[in-house]
Amino acid sequence: MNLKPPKLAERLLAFFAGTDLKSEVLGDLHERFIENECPNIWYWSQTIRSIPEFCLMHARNISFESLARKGLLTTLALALVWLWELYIAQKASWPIAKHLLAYSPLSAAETCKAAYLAIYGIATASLVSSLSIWNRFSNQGNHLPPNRLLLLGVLVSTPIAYHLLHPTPYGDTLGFRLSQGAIVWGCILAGFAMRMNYSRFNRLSKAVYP
Amino acid sequence: MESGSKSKFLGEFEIVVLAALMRLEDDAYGVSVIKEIEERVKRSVSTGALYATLNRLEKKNYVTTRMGQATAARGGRAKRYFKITPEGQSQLEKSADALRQMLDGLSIWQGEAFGL
Repeated sequence: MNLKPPKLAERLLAFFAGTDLKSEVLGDLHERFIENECPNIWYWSQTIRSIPEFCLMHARNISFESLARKGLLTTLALALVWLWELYIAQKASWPIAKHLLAYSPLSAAETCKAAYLAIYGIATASLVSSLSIWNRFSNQGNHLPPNRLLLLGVLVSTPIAYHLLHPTPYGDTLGFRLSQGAIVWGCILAGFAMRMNYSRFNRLSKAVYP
Repeated sequence: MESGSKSKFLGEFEIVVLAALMRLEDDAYGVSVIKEIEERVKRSVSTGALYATLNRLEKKNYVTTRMGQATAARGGRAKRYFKITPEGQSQLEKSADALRQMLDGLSIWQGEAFGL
């Protein structure tokens, strides 16, 4: 009999346990899984019970300095998005916008929307990558999971809060809203994919920031 | 001084875990510690709760760890062995003593609980 633990549960545990602990945690659970009478139910119950414990453990390990640094970066990135939004909303009042409108094949309104979406995407991507790059330099051993959790909290809540509190100047059409949402969530998911595949991302960030 | 006095006493589960490490000596790893606790305290322990506690104890220098060999029974993953440090032992004694002092003379106290 070749019993294997549920893949999704393993992935969840690996994610929440973090790089430092995942091997021994999964090994321990695997060892007890094969001697259990209802292995799948038992494994899932262990997963569900363990996740809050790991979250609390990582939350305790976050230093104030690291939290403050990430808070500052998030604020800066959001301020950047807001400033760019104001700039684009001014349309032709600044020289770059004038050129953009002059050479764009689209209408003025469509150009503004496209530029707005592009800038929104760049700002969100820079937010995600700046947090990730900072994370690489904050060498605290068991630091990946708290950062993932922090990123999750910050990146999930800020765009939602931002959208709720600050409607965009072009947010009157469904297509525009959907494009904006797709850009933001695409950047967030890409950020998480990079974080989860840490070694590959580490090589990439070392190449970019030697 | 304040931080030292703040971490003077161990929590209940920390006491249980450190006692299990002392009992298991060189064979203390995740599964054996959980089994020891479940057998003696009759309390179901999740892997997450155990590792979170061990992580906290390691940060306080009450526990040291070393990696073992990977085995097929563990899906090719290595064990992490835990060992109580002299500092951990002295904390455990202090906390157990405080508990003993508080419970001594009470009708519920039989001198057997917590293995004291």
